[in-house]
Amino acid sequence: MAWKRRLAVLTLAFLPPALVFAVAVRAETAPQPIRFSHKVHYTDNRIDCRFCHSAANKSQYANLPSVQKCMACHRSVAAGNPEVMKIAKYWKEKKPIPWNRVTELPDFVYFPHFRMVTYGKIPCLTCHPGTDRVAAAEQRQEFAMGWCLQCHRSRGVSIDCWTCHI
Amino acid sequence: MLDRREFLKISGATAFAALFGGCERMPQKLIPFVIPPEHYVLGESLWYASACRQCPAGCGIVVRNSAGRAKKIEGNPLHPVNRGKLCARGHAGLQALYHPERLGRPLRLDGPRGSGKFKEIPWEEALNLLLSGLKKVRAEAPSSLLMLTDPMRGHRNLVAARFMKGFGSPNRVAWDPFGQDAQLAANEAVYGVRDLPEADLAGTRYLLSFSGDFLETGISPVHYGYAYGRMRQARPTVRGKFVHLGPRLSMTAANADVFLPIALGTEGFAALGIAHVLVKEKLTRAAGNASALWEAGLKEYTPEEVGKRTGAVPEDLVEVAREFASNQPGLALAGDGAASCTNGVFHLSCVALLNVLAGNVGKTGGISFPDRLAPFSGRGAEAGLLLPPPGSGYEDVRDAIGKMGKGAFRLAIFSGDTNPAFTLAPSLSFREAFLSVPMIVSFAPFLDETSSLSDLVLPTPTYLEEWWDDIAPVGHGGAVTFGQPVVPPYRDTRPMPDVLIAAARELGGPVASALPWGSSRECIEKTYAGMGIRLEEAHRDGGVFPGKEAASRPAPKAGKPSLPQVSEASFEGDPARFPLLLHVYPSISLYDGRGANLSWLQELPDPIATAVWRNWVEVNPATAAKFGLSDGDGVTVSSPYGSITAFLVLHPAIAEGVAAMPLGQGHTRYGRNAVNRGDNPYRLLPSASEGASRAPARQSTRVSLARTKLSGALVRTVSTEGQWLYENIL
Amino acid sequence: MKHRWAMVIDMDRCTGCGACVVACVAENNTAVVGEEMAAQGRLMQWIRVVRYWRVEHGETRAVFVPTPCMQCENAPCEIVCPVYATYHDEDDNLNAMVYNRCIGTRYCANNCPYSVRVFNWFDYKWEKPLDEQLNPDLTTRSRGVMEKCTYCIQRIRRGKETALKEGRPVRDGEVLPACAQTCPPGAILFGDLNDPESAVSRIMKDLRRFRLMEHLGTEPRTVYLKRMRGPGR
Repeated sequence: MAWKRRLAVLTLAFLPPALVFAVAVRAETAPQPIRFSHKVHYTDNRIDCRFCHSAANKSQYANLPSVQKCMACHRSVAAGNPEVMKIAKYWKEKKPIPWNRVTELPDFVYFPHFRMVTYGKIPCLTCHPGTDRVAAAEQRQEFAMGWCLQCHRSRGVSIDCWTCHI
Repeated sequence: MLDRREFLKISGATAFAALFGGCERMPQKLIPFVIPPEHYVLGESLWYASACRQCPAGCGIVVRNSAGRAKKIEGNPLHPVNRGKLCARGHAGLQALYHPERLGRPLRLDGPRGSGKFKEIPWEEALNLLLSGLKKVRAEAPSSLLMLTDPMRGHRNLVAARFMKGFGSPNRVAWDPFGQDAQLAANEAVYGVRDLPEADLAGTRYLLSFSGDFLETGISPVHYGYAYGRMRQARPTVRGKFVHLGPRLSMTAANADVFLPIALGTEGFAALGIAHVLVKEKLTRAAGNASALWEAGLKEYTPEEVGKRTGAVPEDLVEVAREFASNQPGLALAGDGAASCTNGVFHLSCVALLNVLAGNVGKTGGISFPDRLAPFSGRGAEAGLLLPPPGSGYEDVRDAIGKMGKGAFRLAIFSGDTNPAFTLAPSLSFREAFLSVPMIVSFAPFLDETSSLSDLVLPTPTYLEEWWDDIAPVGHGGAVTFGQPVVPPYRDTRPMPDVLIAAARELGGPVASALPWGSSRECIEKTYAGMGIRLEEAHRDGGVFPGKEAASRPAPKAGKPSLPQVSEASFEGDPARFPLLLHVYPSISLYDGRGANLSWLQELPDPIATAVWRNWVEVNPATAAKFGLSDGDGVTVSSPYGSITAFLVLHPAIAEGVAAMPLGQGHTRYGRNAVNRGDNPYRLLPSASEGASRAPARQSTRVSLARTKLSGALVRTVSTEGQWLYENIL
Repeated sequence: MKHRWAMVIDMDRCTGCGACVVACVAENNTAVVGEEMAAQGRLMQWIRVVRYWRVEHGETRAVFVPTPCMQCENAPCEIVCPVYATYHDEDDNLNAMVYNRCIGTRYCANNCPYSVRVFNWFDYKWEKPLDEQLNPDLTTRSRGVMEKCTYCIQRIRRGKETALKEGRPVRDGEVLPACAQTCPPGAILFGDLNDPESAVSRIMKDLRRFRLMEHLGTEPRTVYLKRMRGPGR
């Protein structure tokens, strides 16, 4: 893991922590196989995040919806939309949709979604800001440790290292 | 259940790759399911119950499946054999599943026979080759088909046996180097039951072990390990005492309260000496004819006489006999070191005699013989196929080798869970004889010494990827264990029973009607359907566990014991040229050698020598001094049958005049982890068999040691010098 | 709820079989280093079973001492770490090791009287597809980082999360490290000292109890029960 070596050197050089722990935010996300819009689903049609990301309240991962779930609505809703027809094609061929990763969290961080959602009552948009407004999802918040800690501190949640790094 | 399985097929290659790994970038694709399995949530693990096949003990396991990958094996808490516990070898099953050198496509010989050079071919071509071979053999001489396998149980054995019967060949050989023939023969002679006993370690107060190996590599190490812990500390006021007699302080012996070193191959005489004291001092119970035993010759085995033969201290024998009689219930057990002498049945019979004399038969804390086939009584004659006797099949193997040389076989089907080219004595010339069979088809997950001799290798799944059933040899309490795929088949493999069933269907005729199933899964369903087993529940729990021991069978001969036929252990080689006796024992981590390709097991330090990755030979410091050898020296170990090299380890608690070597290392073909790890001690062994049971007699040769220059050094992990003295850690 | 996890190793039950070692390797993504590295004392196993030869009444006996991290309450490793990569965590009261803080001075290993810390001298690789087995609950460690037994913190966390989801405290015996879970003779006992009813709390009063190198004052949380010896010779 190259990051650790880099980290080690930088820490010794007493650089500001924000720089040390910064995770590069991707300038642009690779185009998705389907032009899925969070805005249309969430803002325009008021579908709850957890309708699709159904395990955000109980699992470490929020989970992505299966093709079956997409088709549950889109068999009838907007079935003529060219993007929706792409989903129908995946469904017909029984192939999964190869989404590109948008949000990246370093692998040395243990981040259980359910703790934030169920016990912290943190709205999804706190960490995924702007998702409600844009057509294509992108990571707009740097997941830097200082930013995490700020929230942990203000809520009186543990800032012990082992809370997130095991 | 079926629905839950489906997701594995879909998720196999691409679902969320695990979120870590070296310095590689995170996976950039997130690929959810087309149809998610019921109740599936990414981030929550599923545990599938199955069974272990890393050794023949038959433990139940549960396997953690996370995002379609097997992550961890743990013992199945419901399973009566291992009660949620698991040994080192059981854990390492994951490395077999994800082994980089596993076969994923059928292989066809692409070079001289035995060269180990193969090329990959499609399954269709491979099956056609097998079929045309079978068809040709059936047309010409069906009995020239040989099937050489590991000792299978459950439907795997049922399918193999029925296939051979339907095909019209009697030549089915099952080879297990650590088969229990001597134990079976001794039990038949002394108790009148040809079966393995249930030894109730947990309930015993006095455990007397004669070269016992029950905590490391015996019949069921986890079962006995669990019971051992309970024998020591689970009863509020009773702590079972454990006395071990044997030539070497093994891991099992190291746990004894008292270790009494005796000469190699004298376990039976030591037992007779103890029996002598029991009868003389009238300490026996439940044995009416003790005086007949006395007159039959027991009176000659005075502690002094036995002391002379075995090297034991006579007073110790007297004391052990008194304690054994006064601490009821007691238990006398013997292990492979005694069983694999040329007079193994004598040793084991004498040990069994102690149980009879002390009245330990049929008691809690003693030994009993449950009716293991009772749950399958509805199957009639086929019940014995589901749970065959745990023999070695050595006689059959030797017989088959003889026939091979005479050209009796035209086609050999070999199952790669056993490795005769590695585990048979060199003087049997298995390799040459096997290669004389015109066509060899192997079913194997790896290329080892035997499967690489084949003309055609058909890759099989590991036990973590197939449907199977099992009945453990001991400790099962009437349980049937069911194995299921815990991940989708990782490579393009097919289980041997499935291939046999498909081949039978193509062949038609009696063999097709002998195997009337569409798949091995259907065979399991049909086999157990008549027994009132609900398979879906059984797969969820990992088996059917009645919870109640099967009714015990009486031991008809136990009331009237007779003196075992006395015989001396014989050792090949001239004592002047080969001054030391060779003691070989299965390695706790590599077993008969099958674990040698798994790096977790190679890097697990041996409990006594603490060595990793390589072979060694142990001798007493006094013996080493006689040869002018010191710890860590490279030595050549020579027997009349061959010579190998190894590093010398000084073992302070091994009988003088004995050289001990662990079996399992010394592979020439079994992948990167296994080859070049020292030499194979099986190559020192004569082909002798045990006199009465015809099992392989491994403790039967003399050896000599000579210093030699070896590159490198033996790596031992524990340096207990200096600050690491035991006294200093307290 | 704060915990004070403790481990009790009953040497009267331990058979020395090594199941704990491989269970730990499987659970904790511990690297296999190979023969050459092992020869230089660079094995990465977090628990080892030390075999001592001991002469009693003129006879040589073997004693097996399974040695994981002692989780000292006065941990000598913590006071020498210049970057606070090893410290006591507040929720579990364990000697924590934070890999992404570690800069590899190895002072901690040098100061550990039990020699239970292991160092990543290289980036050890998992040959594909062996990496499929890696436990997703914790990271693999890279070159230049110290590591050691954590009492399977990921399993402790899983137990706490299950309890949290079910709205109850963690039950005694619910949380087990991989070694304790697998130990065939049941020689390893694990539990919370803050729970006075837990099995470990009760066994702390056992007369056979001792701790390794107790005179050093490290107050180890891993406690041993002495091997007993039957009457007679």
